Amino acid sequence: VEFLIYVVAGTANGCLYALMALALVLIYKTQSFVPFNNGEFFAAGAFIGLLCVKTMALPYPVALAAGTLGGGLVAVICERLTIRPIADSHHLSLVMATAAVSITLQGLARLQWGDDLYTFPTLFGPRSITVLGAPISLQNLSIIALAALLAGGFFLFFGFTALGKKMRALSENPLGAQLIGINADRVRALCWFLSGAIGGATGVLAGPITLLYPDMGAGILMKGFAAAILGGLTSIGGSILGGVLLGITEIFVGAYVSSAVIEVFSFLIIMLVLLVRPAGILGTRTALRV
Amino acid sequence: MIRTLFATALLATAFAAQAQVPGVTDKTIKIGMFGPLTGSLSIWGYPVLNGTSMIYKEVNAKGGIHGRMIEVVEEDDGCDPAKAVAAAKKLIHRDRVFMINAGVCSGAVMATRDEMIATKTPLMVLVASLHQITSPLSPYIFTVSPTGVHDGKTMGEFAASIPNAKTVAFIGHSDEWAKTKVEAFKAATAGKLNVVAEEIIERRITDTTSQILAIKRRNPDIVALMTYPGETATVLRDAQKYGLKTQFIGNNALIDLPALVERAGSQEAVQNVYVMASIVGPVGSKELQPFEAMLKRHYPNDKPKAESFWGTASAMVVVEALRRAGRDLTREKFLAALEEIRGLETGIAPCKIDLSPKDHQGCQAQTAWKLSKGGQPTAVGLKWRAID
Repeated sequence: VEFLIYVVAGTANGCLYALMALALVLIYKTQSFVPFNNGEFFAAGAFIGLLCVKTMALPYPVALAAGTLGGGLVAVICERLTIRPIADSHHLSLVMATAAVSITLQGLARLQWGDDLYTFPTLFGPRSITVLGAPISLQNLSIIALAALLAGGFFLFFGFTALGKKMRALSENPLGAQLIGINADRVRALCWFLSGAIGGATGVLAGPITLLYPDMGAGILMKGFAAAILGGLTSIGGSILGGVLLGITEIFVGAYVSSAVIEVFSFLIIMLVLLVRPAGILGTRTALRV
Repeated sequence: MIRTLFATALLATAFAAQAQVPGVTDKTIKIGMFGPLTGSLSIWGYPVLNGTSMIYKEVNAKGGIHGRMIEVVEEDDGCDPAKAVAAAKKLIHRDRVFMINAGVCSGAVMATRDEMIATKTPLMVLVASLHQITSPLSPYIFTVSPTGVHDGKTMGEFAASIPNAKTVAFIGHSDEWAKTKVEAFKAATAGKLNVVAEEIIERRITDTTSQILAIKRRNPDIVALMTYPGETATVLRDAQKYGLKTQFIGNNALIDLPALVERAGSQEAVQNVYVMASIVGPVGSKELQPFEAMLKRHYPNDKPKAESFWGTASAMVVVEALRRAGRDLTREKFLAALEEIRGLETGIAPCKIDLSPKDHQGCQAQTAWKLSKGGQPTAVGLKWRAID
């Protein structure tokens, strides 16, 4: 019975990590660096969702849409103001720029929400259904379902739309893509929008199972990073797989090894994968931007 | 002529001596404060600082102390030791405060201890509970709020008073703050309660499924919560989700039961939680009424929370010592006056304040609170009793 509970709870957590990993991989694939400010798009989505649900009394699907759009818009603004002007700089400069943006956004958020922890109403309260004698939380099931829908939508987008194909082309061969007339700036901006939108959507999904505060994105960013490393920073499918694997494994480690290990587990994963298979499970080796 | 010259010289000497006392002028006494005004623990920042400052504002409204007004300088430590040291250094060296009445987060306050001692700056701790801040004893550092040792001890004593309770499980953070409480709890319940599980949750955790199920397997009579408010809400929410039905004893950081209900998502999740309280009564109680009115007078936009009054008694003790130290104020006189305070009734601390040259931990009593069926925080007392 407990096994099933662990699998469902771990998968729900893993879906959130997977979405964050997907958001990171999108940027990595088009600009060859890992942004440190994606946690803030996650927080932006969560707070926008909270505004919709609590202040404006709008239904959850509207909050999800608003959080997704809001996260995307914040990301686009960040890209336009801080990344595009230095897009050709060394990747470390770009990483540091995103770290600076992260700290700035947290500070701005604190001006508005600084002195409290906020609660996002749950979709189903503490209700659960019983499967094979195990209480399975409806909240967890809804996270898994919505995350699967989102991930599926993005797979379709990348696989079957012209814009998605342009993005893939730019990530595979930036110079070639520009030679055939793809507007690199525009496509990169769109990548940032999608990355922010995924972060924002994840924030709304995670809202009911976490507490909201301005620097809430830092923890999940690290999990997303671990998931992306595990699955492969160059693979969209790998990021999803890595997220789910990380979520399930860490909950089993907590249950059967020690709860003290849970939070360091993601760091262990990063170190182990980098030592044993640096490209991750589904990733491929690529030349580093220098 | 000689007499006049002598009197003038005496006056000049007295004035020069006064001028050398940091933070004291003819008309003001400068007091420094720091706490987490940013970051996830800023939930305790302004409430605690404002609930303390209101005493100084009240004193000023009544004419000050020996003709001097109290001037408060506030700094943010973000609950971060490095920031706390920077804040303390600024207050001591740049603002040149007379004393510091500060400290919400234990790690942050502990980091400033050496600076306080090195510069001989008096520190009256607001609410930070780490025992090592005031032990071993330093001539400059005082608290009138229960330390972690006393919090764990009173939690244990209360747990042991629950009828038929034989087993306990701990769920807590991995830091010194939680470990101190756990050890004190165990010492207070040795031979009375059998420890069946000890689970760790890290800060900012969002899922405690594995910890809750591990505890549920051992079926303890009591679960002791050595956790901060946000993480406690996650624990209680998951406990309800997975059907862990037991009695929870919470540490004194969980005093704001209505906020815990809000964060856990339902009153039902918090209904079996007893928390330790270092103030005399819940918000809305008769005992707290004068202090709530004072907060409203000086901070009309603040919503009174239980933690708003965590530091109030500390400011009252500072004011009393400033009064006793007299017009010719020096740090030495102030410290001596603090050490002479005995049986001071503040009306907000649950016991009389007793300080001495050998004991700088002024009030170490706590009582338990619990939500009534109607959802109101209600004082239970030192020992368990049914309240509904």
